[in-house]
Amino acid sequence: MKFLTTNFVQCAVQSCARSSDAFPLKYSECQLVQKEIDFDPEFIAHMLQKLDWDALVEVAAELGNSSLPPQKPTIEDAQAAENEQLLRDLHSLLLETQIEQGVMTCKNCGHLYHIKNFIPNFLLPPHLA
Amino acid sequence: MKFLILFAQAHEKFRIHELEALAEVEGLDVDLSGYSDDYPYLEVELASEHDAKRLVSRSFLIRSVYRVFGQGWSYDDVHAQTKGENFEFMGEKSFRFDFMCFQGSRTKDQQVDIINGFRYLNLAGPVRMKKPDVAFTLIEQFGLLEKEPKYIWFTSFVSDSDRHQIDVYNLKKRPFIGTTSFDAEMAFVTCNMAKIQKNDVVYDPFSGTGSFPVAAAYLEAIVFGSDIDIRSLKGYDKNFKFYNREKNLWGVSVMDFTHNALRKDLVFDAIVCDPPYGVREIIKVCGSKNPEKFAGKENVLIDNVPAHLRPEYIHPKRPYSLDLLLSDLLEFAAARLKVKGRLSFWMPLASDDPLSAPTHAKLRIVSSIPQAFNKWQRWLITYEKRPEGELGETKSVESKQAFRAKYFSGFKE
Repeated sequence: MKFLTTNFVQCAVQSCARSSDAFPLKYSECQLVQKEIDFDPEFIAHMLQKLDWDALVEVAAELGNSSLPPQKPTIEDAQAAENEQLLRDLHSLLLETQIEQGVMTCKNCGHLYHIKNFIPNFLLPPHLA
Repeated sequence: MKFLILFAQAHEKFRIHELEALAEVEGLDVDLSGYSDDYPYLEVELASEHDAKRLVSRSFLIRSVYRVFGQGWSYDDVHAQTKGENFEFMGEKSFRFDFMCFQGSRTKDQQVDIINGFRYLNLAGPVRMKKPDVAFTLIEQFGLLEKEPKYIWFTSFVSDSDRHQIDVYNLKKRPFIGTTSFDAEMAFVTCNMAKIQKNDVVYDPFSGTGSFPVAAAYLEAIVFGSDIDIRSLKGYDKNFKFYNREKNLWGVSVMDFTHNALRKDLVFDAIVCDPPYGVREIIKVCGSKNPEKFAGKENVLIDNVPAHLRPEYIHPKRPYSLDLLLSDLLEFAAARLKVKGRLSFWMPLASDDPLSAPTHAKLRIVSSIPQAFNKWQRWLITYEKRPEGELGETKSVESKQAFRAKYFSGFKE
């Protein structure tokens, strides 16, 4: 699972649907792996618009990366030299950093989900389904 | 300017719908009323060669597009019209002549004679067989067993479509496939029907081995895929790596669609899928068939950890019906698509059964197109989210439950 995915998944339990605590999930016991992916600055700049930045900063900190700026950066020209380092860092964090194994916990209901072999599993046991 | 679109001789019922969707994507106002499923040709009026290229370059059911200079039942007609056209744009440009003969052929000598008939064009540029600036093309439609063509167009080649990608994305060449993999050609057509464009956010809730996400990623969309069966998801990365589209895959997870874990404020531009029919894959959701059996099981501890929270826990599943699943799908699409965003999915029916597609007040049915197999057919149904405030009627259907039973009884009464 790409680090990026953490920005799009929340607790699957019905009663958590309306809770603001169900996103982002809390990540722990994670094993991270770097996988090389081609760098495309335009694509990363576009990606920024779709991100929930606060959630990104929070999850990154949980996984030991507290170097992200607190406010979402604005990129006007993705090809400009002064933006390259930031975009490369984001590329490396969001796409290349992948979670091989780990646990995701809902901060609302406390239910936990596992990530195994890079695939997160959001299936629910019968009493929660 | 007049252009001639040449369609592939396949999936005739889908061709015009795909073209309509592409015209809308490109914002081109074009009259397609001359189309017929029976002919591979369609003449259209467009402002420029650039527009013609935009219209067809993303198509998978068109072969190519040509600019028409002259046409008619004989070469006399063709020449009469061509002489009225202005060829100043040619200047010193290099050129060549090609022949495309349908249901007939021309010998080399005949070809030379015909080309010499165009001497009056006074082309000043050089002849170049490899990569000329302009490839004049004579398109001739013969009648069966006739020596002379029935109809002729004198054209220049403008653009090919994206149809050659069908071969690149052929399932036979894909590293990871399964029993439910969807053929590349129709997966691409599905994506075009859903008007998927670059950087669109696209979701396939029944993705299996990722046939639709792979097709959408080819179109440079951002894709999310999920499936209740982990086995089919294991080779996902392999396929995206193979097609060099790893960056376009933003999330893949094991998920019960009816208990969705994608964050609620994520807006989709399109949803494309082939829901389970109960034939090649069972229709199941999380839960237990027999709730009494599972009563109190949430309190079972193994090594002091609740059993259902352990990584090796296997989630029980219960059967679900296709009707309910489709109505959940429409509900989800109505809530999560952007306005004018599209949902395209496939639905199977016995050939004799009339189509009754489920409806939703917030979704307008754009088209439903059948692909016929021997005794059954599958329908590609496309919905578009209505603007806020506009409401249609909601109608769920109860009939497809029978599809599985009919399929396994060989469609006998």
